[in-house]
Amino acid sequence: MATHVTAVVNQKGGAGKTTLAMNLGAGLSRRGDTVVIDLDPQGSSRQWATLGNAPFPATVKQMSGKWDARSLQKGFQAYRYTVLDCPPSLDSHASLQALRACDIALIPILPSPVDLWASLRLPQEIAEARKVNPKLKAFLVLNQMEPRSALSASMREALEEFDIPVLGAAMRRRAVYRGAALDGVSVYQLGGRGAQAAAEIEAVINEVITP
Amino acid sequence: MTNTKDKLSASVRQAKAAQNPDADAPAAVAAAKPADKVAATAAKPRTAAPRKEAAPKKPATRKPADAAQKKKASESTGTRKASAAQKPQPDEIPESGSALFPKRVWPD
Ligand SMILES: Nc1ncnc2c1ncn2[C@@H]1O[C@H](COP(=O)(O)OP(=O)(O)OP(=O)(O)O)[C@@H](O)[C@H]1O
Ligand SMILES: [Mg+2]
Repeated sequence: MATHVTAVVNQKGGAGKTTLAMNLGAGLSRRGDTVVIDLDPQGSSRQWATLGNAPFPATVKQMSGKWDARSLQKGFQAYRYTVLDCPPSLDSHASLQALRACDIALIPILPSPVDLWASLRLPQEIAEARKVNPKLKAFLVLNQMEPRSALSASMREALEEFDIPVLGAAMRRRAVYRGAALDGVSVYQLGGRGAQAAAEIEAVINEVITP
Repeated sequence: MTNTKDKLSASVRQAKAAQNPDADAPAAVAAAKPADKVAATAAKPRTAAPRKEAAPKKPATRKPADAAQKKKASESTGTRKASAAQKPQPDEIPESGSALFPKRVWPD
């Protein structure tokens, strides 16, 4: 059976791609064999996975040598779920191929005007990728939301200007997301401390990956 | 709040118009020449800049040994202990309120 591929993309740096990809990987691994592929030369997800006492719940790998969308899908078909952590660039080979290979593109976005402006090219890129990957579905995921902040509250309305739907599920700004990376674990492994964050990741998974 | 909403939405529309000057954004396009120029140059780096690609910029946590590890393109083994892990952390980072540019956007 083909692996279900979720690409986490955004050309804006620091939007939460790695945070979302790694926690999605952990959440999906509870449903089936999951691999997170670190496509970013920064190697953050790989670094994250080396820090834990126990192996990270999802397998975390980096790509090496020549690869494209097809070889990626083929190479990981043994996994039920594949999550791609993309670099902060849409012009890179990695991001282009990721958008061609994936079933779903998740685009984390921060509640800040600069991040919104920087993400405006995304709908075009998604449309471009759809020419070779017609099954591609793309969704924006609000990240680092602060419920009492005016900017956070304004995000959904502002994102109506985008031609990409916004997930109902969102990630709040929580110290556990950062702490989990430091511990080399996912928020699922932090017990009560990570429960609310894990519920947010579950909501993302249930809304679009395994609805 | 409504003010922030309106401003944010308007800024997105404006940025969009600056991106495709020939699209349906008469307000931005109809602006005088100098403004057009600004829009055109502002749009450029967005498409051209291959950000962060070549030089990994997180050297603080990355030791030389990492580079060798990376070459192997190996699976993570998850063996190292995280020493700073014990510190109790509040689940929620204090919110920075409703100011447009709050002081505490990046706490810790
Ligand atoms: N919901 C959140 N709450 C608190 N901190 C967060 C949250 N999401 C991300 N962060 C923090 O924000 C920073 C950037 O996140 P992350 O590295 O996941 O972004 P990225 O898009 O992968 O960055 P890059 O473009 O550099 O690859 C990290 O320090 C991360 O721990
Ligand atoms: Mg990253």
